Amino acid sequence: MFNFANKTVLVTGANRGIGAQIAKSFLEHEANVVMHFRSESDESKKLISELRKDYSNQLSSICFDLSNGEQIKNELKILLKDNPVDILVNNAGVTHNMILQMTSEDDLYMQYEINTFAPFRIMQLVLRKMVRAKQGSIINISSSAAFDGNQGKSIYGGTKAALIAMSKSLSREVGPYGIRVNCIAPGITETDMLSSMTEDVINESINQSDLKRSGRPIDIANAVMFLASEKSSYITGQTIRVDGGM
Amino acid sequence: MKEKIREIFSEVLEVEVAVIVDNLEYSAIPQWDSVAHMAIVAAIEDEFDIMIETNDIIDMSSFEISVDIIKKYL
Amino acid sequence: MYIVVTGALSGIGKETVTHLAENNWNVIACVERDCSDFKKFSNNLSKKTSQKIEVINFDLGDEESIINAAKKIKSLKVDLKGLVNIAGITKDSSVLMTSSQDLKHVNDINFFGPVVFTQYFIKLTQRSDIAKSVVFISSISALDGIEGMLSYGTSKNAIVNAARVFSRELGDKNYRFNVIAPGVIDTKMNEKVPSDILEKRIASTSLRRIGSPKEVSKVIEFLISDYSSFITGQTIRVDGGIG
Repeated sequence: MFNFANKTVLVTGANRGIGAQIAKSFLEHEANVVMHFRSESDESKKLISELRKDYSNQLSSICFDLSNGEQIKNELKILLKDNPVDILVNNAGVTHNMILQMTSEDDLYMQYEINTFAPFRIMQLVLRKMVRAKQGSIINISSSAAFDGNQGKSIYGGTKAALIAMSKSLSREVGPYGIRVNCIAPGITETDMLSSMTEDVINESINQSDLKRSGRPIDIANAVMFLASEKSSYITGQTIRVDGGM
Repeated sequence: MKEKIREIFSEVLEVEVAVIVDNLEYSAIPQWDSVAHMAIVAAIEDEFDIMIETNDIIDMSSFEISVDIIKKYL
Repeated sequence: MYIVVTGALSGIGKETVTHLAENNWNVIACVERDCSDFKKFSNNLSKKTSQKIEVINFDLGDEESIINAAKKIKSLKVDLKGLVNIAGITKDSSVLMTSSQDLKHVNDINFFGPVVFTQYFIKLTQRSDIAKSVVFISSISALDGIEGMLSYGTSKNAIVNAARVFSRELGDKNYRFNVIAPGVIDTKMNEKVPSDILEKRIASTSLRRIGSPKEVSKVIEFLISDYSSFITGQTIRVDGGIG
């Protein structure tokens, strides 16, 4: 279905969960991959060496703290100097689960910093190369919470809805350059992020969905590959919900 | 260097070099809109192997001012 | 495994038959009438791709014809993976100049027919273990409302809701239902659209170009495949960024 030979993919938040699977899936489909981590750790080193064993395409890592604009700029400057980025996947994000009236200002700022401002900063820089190359595909990971957030998701949902709005307008700006910008909105996906919700709420959501099961990281990775590939060549400015029919 | 930058402006905006006068301002001609502005920045960054700060990109309000700003990076 | 494709005679339907065969699917191609050109096309395609292409005829406006088509498919005794409802017609006219007959006829072919055919497809396949996928072709006019497209737009809008309801009820019975809303695609359906209006629509796309039937077929291929196994009840715009 997909072949990304000679394409370079940058995935943020690639140390585990959906991000790690996205990196793995792209490697499986011939892409060169740059995995972003907040910082090098035993976990990230182990992951990289395991992937290097299984895949011979280029695999490298880049580290920066998403809440640090200077770090983002400096690290990306170095990366972009010698490497094109054909596909950008803004996957890194942090979840938050607290009613609006008990949400601190610190939490509010942190949510927007990581989930919305960081993707904005990264896109601004990566687009420089994409505009010059007159090609590129950006996939932003939003969330079903952007549309139907449960209690506790007003802030998180807001940061994810902001990504959707940003992507829509941006897609109109860079469309003439052959660059596509789309979002994926996962529903309930089996990752560590689920631990922020109670089992009751999770089961309730799953039972109300059409497929009546939770998603797996590979389901999200497959949708990301679809939007990154020429299979979706006439799709831009869209958000695809990968949520088992919520 | 100034003439090289003028060439880049002319190529990206698809106008004659003679149209790129020193005091040509952003938005003064329809070709130089915000989207074209980013394409000019991309071409300059490629040519001189630099990366221009977003605040500087916003400040590049005329051809002449752009040249001054670019000089900072060389 | 086989995919059933309606509206296979031309445009997106024909391209989809080709694209699916080229990507290792067998196809049951449905056209309204027997046609030697199409028979030739399907034989050549089958030879080229080593995939089986069965051709059946039926009229989406006639429930008896739909039932016979379902019986014919059943008699083939093959594994069915999916159904792609592409066949459709348009009859553009301003709201006050749209006759009730036209309104009914367009809805018959674009909405009632595909829904009834889908019901029969489900009856045929409900005991199989295969994870089945149904794709409907709607249109951006269903979502945006376009002047001159009362009959077409409403029929295509009804399809969006139908897919959602099918998905709600059958999601846990091994079926997925999704909808594609194409924008301006290079097919005969544009023949009657004035060229200045067509140009204006194309200019309003973010990608600044018309879409090809193949670009819709590729999305169909994805939605039929298990790569999209967690996507259901969705409508995906394939419009180069119009909406």
